[in-house]
Amino acid sequence: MKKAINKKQNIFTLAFSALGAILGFTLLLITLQLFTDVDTIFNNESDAIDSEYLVLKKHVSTLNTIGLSSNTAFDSEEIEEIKGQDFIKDIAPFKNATFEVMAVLGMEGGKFPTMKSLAFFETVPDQFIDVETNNWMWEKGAMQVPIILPNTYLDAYNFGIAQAAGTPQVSKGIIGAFSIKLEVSGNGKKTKYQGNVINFSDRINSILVPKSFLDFANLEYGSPSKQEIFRVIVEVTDANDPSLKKYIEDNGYETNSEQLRGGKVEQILRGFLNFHVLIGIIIILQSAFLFVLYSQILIQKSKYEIQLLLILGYKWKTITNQINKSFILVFMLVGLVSFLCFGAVKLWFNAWLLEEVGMEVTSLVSLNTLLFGIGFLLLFLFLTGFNISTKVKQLAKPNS
Amino acid sequence: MKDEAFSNESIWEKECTLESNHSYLISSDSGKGKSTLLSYIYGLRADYSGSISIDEENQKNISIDSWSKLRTHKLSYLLQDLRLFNHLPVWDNLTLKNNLTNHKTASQIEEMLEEFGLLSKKSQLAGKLSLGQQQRVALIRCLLQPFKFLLLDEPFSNIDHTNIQIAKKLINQECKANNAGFILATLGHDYEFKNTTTIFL
Repeated sequence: MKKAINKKQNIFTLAFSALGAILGFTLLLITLQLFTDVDTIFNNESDAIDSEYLVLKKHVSTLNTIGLSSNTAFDSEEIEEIKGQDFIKDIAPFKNATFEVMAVLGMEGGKFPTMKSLAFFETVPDQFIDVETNNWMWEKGAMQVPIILPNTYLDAYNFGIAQAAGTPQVSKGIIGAFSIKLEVSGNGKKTKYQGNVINFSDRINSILVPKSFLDFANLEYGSPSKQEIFRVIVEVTDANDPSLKKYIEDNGYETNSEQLRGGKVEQILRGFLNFHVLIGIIIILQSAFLFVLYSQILIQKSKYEIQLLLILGYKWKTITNQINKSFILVFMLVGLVSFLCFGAVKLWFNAWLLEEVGMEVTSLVSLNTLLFGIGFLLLFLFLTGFNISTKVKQLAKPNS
Repeated sequence: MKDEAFSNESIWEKECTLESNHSYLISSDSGKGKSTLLSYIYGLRADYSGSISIDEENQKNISIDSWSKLRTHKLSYLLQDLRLFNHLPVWDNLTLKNNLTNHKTASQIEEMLEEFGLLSKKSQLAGKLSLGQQQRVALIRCLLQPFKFLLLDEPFSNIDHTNIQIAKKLINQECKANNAGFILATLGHDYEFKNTTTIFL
């Protein structure tokens, strides 16, 4: 029976349809895989720049400066509302000092300039701090206070002050050699403490002291009733989450926009990928259409043979299966070649990422990509199979 | 069987029953509908008014799958235009039918070819045979299945006298073996078949 029907196969048309299908399939597989890879890449990057933690503050306008607008502090209701959002895992306020601090930075030997500046202290719960917090404690009566400085301070010194003043740059390692004298004053009292810089933080752009010291000093030199919350630190599930970005904008909050920029790049990239998927799907649908058309032509050309088989008593299902078999074979070939092309492109892409961008993507193919690929192959089979069986059945019916 | 149907008048618009243990000749001039009637009986066409029943079942209610069964077990049809696969060898044309029914052995088929003097043409493409040879191959093919009725549409139109006798012998032999009859469309010639009823169109 195979010989009876297959004579009418048009190899050129079939090859053309198959080529279109391979092109569409490869493109779709690559794009689907890129989706997964982009996920991996961006998640890795997020970890690197700590975008899972964001510091929120309210916008400070000119009206605030001249005292005509409401203050920029968070009240407890607002904090509760932020806490209730799906994308927020945890939240903590920055507790600030209500007393005055004068910091004097210098080093024995006079090689470095001495700097004196008004300073401020804040504290956040330990779990929000991104660096080692050994010796992060203060007990009442101790004259030494551990301090965590923002990394930007060190950068500002090394690349700004040190360059301008012609003094040596310093590394994190020798910072312990610096002495920071702290003059804490308020409520008519004034005490000198010794500050010890124990680390530098990327995440928190503020001078941190242990909570026990801040609580004590606020009571001693400041007025705890004046304590307000101007900044909060939040832990989020995904800093690139568009709904997070929208929430921040809608409520007039501000955050370190640098950290959200990754989200924008990712959004643009995803937009491109969506476009690619669309093209891949269009090509695939077109080639599916070609196959359907080809199967119709094949049946039309084999009409005599199919009718004769029906006259001889062959069941329409048997004939349909025989025609389908040749298509299954072609589709398997299309699938195989597409996966091979995809694999080659993927290997090249992985190598390129490693070499040019320095990112290692070890995965070759994700389960999603595989399932989508197989799904589309089945769709092809279903479409042509359905078309073939309908046409053969039509021929099997008596002419009326 | 209603006798009036088988008078010298046309059978169209009349009612009749054909018994499968009896044979019939459908006789008329060209263009009166012999082939049409046979293709109605075989279920290839359904553009008629009235009804045709096979084993008491109205043909128009017979499913496509049941038609396949009927065509492999109860009805066999030699079409006037022969309908061979011209691009396939004689042997493949025959086995395409026999594979479906497993009715004859390979040697039985070869014997039939031998009787018609066609054994040497076994591997030749059907399309390359003369019309007479093609007609004999098509006749053998329609005998490769069990049947209750053998529908023959001008089966001897291209065959010489000697081969007609061989064909008649084969047809009678198979009808007897199947306890079946034939319905043979002819332009008026009765080919000296015995015990047949003639239907006029």
